[in-house]
Amino acid sequence: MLKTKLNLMYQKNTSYRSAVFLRLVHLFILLAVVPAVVNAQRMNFNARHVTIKQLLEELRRQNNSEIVVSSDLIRSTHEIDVDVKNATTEEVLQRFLSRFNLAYKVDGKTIIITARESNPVPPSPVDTSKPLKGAVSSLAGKLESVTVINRRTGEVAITAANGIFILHDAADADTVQLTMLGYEKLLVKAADIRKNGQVMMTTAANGLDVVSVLAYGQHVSRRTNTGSSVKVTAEEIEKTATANPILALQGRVAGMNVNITSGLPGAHPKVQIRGVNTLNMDGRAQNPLYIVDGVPFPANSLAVVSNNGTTYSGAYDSPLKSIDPSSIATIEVLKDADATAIYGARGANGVILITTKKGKPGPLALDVDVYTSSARIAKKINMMNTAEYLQMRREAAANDGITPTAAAYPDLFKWSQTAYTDWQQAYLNRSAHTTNAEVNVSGGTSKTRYLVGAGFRKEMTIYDLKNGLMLGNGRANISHQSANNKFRVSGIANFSTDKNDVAAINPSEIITLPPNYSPYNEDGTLNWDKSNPLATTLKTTKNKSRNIQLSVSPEYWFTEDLKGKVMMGYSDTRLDQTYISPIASQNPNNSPKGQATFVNGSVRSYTVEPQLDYHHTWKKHGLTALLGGTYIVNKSATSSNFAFGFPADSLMGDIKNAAAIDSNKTAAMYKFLSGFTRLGYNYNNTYIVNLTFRRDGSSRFAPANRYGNFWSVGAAWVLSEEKWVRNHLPLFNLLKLRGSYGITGNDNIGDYKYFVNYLKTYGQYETYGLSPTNLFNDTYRWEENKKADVALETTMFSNRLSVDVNYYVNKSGNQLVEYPLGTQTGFGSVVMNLGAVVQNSGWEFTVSGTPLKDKKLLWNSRLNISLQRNKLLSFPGLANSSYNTIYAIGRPLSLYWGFEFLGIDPATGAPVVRDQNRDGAISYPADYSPLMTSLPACYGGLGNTFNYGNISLDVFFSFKINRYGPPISMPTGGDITNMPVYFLQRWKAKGDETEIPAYTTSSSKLYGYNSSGAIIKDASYIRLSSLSLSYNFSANVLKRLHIRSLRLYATGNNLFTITRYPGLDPEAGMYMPPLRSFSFGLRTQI
Amino acid sequence: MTMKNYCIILLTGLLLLSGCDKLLEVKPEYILTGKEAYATEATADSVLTGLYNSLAGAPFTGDGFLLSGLSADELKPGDASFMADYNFIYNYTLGSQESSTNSFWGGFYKTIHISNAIINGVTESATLTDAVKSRISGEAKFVRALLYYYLVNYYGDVPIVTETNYNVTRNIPRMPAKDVYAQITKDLKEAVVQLPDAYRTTERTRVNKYAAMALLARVSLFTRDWQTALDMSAAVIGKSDLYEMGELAADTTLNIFHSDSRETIFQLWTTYGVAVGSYTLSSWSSFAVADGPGSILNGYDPTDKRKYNFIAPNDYNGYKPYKYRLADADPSYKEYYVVLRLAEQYLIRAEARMELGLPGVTDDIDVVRARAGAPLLGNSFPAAGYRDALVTERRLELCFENADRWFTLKRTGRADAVMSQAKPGTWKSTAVLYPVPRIEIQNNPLLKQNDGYQ
Repeated sequence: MLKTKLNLMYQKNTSYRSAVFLRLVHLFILLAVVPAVVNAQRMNFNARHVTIKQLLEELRRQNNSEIVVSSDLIRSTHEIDVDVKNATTEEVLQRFLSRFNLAYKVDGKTIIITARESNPVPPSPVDTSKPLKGAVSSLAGKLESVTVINRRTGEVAITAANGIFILHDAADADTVQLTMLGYEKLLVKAADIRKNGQVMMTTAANGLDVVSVLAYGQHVSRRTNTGSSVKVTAEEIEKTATANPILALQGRVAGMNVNITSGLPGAHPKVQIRGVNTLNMDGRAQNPLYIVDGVPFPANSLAVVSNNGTTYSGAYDSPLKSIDPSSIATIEVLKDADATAIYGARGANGVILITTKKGKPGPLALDVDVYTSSARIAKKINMMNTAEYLQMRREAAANDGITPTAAAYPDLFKWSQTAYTDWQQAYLNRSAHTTNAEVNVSGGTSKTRYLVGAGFRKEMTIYDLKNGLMLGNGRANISHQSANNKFRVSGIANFSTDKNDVAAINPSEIITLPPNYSPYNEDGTLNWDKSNPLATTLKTTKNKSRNIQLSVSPEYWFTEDLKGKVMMGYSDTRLDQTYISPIASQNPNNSPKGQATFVNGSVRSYTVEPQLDYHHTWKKHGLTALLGGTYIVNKSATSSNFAFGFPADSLMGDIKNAAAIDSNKTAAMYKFLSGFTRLGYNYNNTYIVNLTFRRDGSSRFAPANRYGNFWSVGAAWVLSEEKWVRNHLPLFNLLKLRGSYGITGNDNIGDYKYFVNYLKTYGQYETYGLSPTNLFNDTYRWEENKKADVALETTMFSNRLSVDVNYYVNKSGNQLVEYPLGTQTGFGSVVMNLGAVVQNSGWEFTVSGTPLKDKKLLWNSRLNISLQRNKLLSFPGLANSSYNTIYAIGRPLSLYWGFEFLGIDPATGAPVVRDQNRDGAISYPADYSPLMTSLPACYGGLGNTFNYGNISLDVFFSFKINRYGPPISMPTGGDITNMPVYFLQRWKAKGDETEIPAYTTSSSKLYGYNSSGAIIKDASYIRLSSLSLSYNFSANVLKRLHIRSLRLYATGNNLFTITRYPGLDPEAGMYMPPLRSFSFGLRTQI
Repeated sequence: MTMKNYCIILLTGLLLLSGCDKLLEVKPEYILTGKEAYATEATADSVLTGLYNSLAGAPFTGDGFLLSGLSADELKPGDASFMADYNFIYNYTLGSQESSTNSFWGGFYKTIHISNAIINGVTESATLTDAVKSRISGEAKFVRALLYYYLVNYYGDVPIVTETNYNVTRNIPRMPAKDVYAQITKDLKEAVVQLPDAYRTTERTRVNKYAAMALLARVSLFTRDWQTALDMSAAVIGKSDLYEMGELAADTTLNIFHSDSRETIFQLWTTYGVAVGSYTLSSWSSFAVADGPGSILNGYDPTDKRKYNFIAPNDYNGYKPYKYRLADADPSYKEYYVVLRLAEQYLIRAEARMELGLPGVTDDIDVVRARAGAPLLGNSFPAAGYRDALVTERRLELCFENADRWFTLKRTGRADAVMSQAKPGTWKSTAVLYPVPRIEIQNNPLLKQNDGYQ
């Protein structure tokens, strides 16, 4: 009955009236505040065909009454004629409400409208007028803002932050109804509440009316949304116990491919939303836009020194690691043109909106979340033992007709022939510990709310026992509104600082150590018979970063329909890197000198976003209009000092002792200006259209080409609102068709390219000089991305099952690339728009449901599958461009190229590859062909949550199917390097049929093999990403402990992976894989 | 407020927001724009430093004389570390691994682009004085001429690029070699006028008027403009307050390739001495001095000091060039890459005198031979042997330097005869020109490949 149904306009109307009731947005409409006394004023109203909605609005307008009503109740299209003169509010209500089958109640200053019970239960003679107090909670803890209604009396109460509500009059026999957005409606006997003191609500099986945060803080529900977006809530993020919020999203969002490139602390996951749109191979041009609390967050690593721990193997340091996942309220992923249009060019690769938790009205609450975890490497590679290794070395030399010498083969002569060390056991089998603590203090009144919090994390890695990532963060947010509620201001400050000192060792350097090697000589010095990975531990690696984000957003309500708001944001990210390579850490045979690198990088960003927000409703028509602007100034700078040739390690503290210092400074400024408008029209919640138009300006283009115009259209048809669907297909709670089309721009090409840049030369000619670094071209302009999206959204079986199917096609053309030119022009390339078109298309299926629900056990299940196809549609002149061994028409952009592997010649043991051009010789690039792609054809996740009483179990699998790589090449037997045992299957003698070439000391003999598809392995996988078990203490225990909630949890991450990939991890390859971790923690509110 | 009013506010706001061009202006830091770079003498000189820095890169201190040494009868592959990259140069085939000549061709044009940018930039500058414009422009023209001299000799016909607009330059085809020489001569003649007499640095690492004259003298041998060759070399030789022949001595500090040598007319500054590719000469094992029939190893008279001063036994495999001796940064001893030196000017004047039928041919050759301690030709040397004597003397004196041997063989029409003896079975007549890198032909289909590489 009071089941919530949302109306965009109404819900928006409410969001500003009163902060107290902000949380009721979904359920109640507060039509004006500040009534002195109800009835004090008299009203006149004469109209025909008046709906209840219009009547109440008129009442509110003339009388300034505060009216609380479920939006469900006023959805009625029933119309009456009204003719009142000089009547009090109460008179009007008495006269007309019954005609809508509604009742009302005056509670102090507030009028509460309720449904009229057809058979009111007579008050029980025994226990009338007895107050009823209870606490409402969910598995996640106390529930605030639950609407509690006594069905007999119509009395309404709202739960406070501690979940407590009080009904002044409730008989034991009364039925109490509890509703809350996102939770199942609950009907409970008052007597039961009296007995238990507590009511438990369960999450709704579907997210039908879960409010989504859209661009610029607009809210919309699943019912009226015209765009494609996915929301991940704190509840889901909490179950993963990951350090980086983006890692928590892997497999949880349809259309979002998260790649874990490294398991090192603070490493950056690679994120692609609906595929790669750009030919620009700089990963930064493929990144989505991250917005944290309304302020753009620089998610690109500032790392300059690539051999520092976190940046090893391209796994860049991630600024996003500074956001503690447990401080996040929601993460919203915006995908299609309609959802991202409002961010324009910046959102071309999708937008990820991160909203942190905010203070709630109520008494001061202290939230504590602490966990500790222990992680180990999840896989061991089977390597050759000493006998097999030595045999391999001898055989390789013998095959090449080489007689091993003591100088070139110390492992055969100098080292023990029987010693065996399992290097993985010795150095990679340790546990890495993580401690994470997060404390928040929050509270507030109806006018002012605040939250102050701090967090700490210490994350170690498995091979470096001294060094790890230490991270501290703090945050404060406050919001306040004026007495008349017209002015409201909120401020947010997030701060974090961290230090990452992990030594830059690649685990495969340790894994491939020969089993009879000893890293130390008898005298304790490092053994340099081969390159010694332990030397790295003598180097100093330091990455210190700091992150500040501030924002202030004042807003003012000019009228009830028009709001003005300005968001002013500032973010400041810094990274200081130090990398010191002392003489002691280098091979003494190469007459080493000390080297040191010091780098400071910073990005500062200023954002101003003014906007006017208008909405108006009349009869069945709803209109919204948003007019806004964005102005962003981005300043980035780096300062590097490379100091070479320190004569002694003891002199390395002072850079002046270096023989040569190469200093370099860079700075860049980027400005972005745009104006935009969004118009929305909603007819009776059935037909919804949204139009967005924007004009973007970017400083990356020459003045004549700075501006681009972009637009989008989104529309939805809610079939389940149509009478015939309701009558004939009652099964559907929601049946909705939705689509969008739009064009956005992209300016990801780097700054200042439209004029000739004269920069300091890399090398010296007596002194440093200046040199032009690019060709002059000021004619290039915005890259264009066209995005089309169609979806069918359904909810069935009393909201027990929801199925969404989404199809999209994105085409990006006018590609901004460094176009290859003959070097006779002075450079190999020029920035220009290329007529190449990249297409991403795919299906996204999301199914969620409640297969089982009874009094004790609740089973929720959710599955998402993304089928994705990325292909290059056209590329003029591809064959003659330098891209001709990178891209191929009709194939995905992420392609492995190489020779086509045909097998091993049984006569010689040499690899045989296809001679594509049949010229009798195998050569690069003529015989290269596109082989496989690293992009999965299908990926997704399957999550199941079981709640049994106070216990909750969550099991989450993620999977990626039909993807390849990273390649694992075959080492030569000429290197002092051990091999995995599968290379034992090599060709040994004439006639051997095998897929592995003969051992050889020559890399050119292995060239055909190591440059072929043979080393690119199937890396499809299914992984048990997380398993989380939690226990919520019952109200009785909590009462005794005097705390509001307490939850204990245990989470296992990356527990097992089913894959045929032979490396350490199907995503990280042979680099540090994501670890298998077990976490134990508690979350409590006091 | 009515709807209409809202609409007006909305539209006005939208227009205001997107109309402010000033809001998108950016002021770069640590970057000069094209115009700013030529606003003052200091900045323009900095760009010039950048030009020399680029010149000292790949074409010279890198692979320059290595490739031509392998092509000619000067060098051969050394041990197993000989890179496959160079094989096709040695064997005159266009194999699959051509990356070394990709950067070779590209390195010339990248540096030419900077020269073009400087010449255009200073010409258009509104703030530089005429004297400064003249000097800077002269230096840039010298560099441009030097680069085209190498290009035309390595590749034959090449695109002549003298401007910076890529829309024009990307479509320039290969131009006849004689036009390239005309461009070189024009640049050098202008440079001779525009450049000052004095060096700007004590180490002769920037060009002066005489450097332009010396190069023009050399180029004139190729254009057979003997009078210019004579005039220019005579003028340089006559400038005895600047230039004098050095002594050949085992003592490195007296080396004529020492950075203080007064024989040097122009040298390129380097940080760590002269390297060949990525190999410094002192640790050279990838290459060796060619030891086939007619090897330079047997070319010197027993008394000729050049035999030991220019060539030394290699620790690994035979002999290595020994003109540059610096292995590592040694603050007490400096060696730069010598582009022009006085000894060559004597040999140029000798050749010009010979072609013009003037006396003094053997006198000039004997200046070089006397310094080396080699027997003098003297006045009785028969004029019929002048041509051979000159080619031989250039080889003995200028071996491994600036591709001189390779270019001289081709210029004098001896490549076929000499090389088919030195590398029988491998040599072919089309090998006198290098292949145009395939990637360049891909990116500019107007470029046609040289014969023998299709």
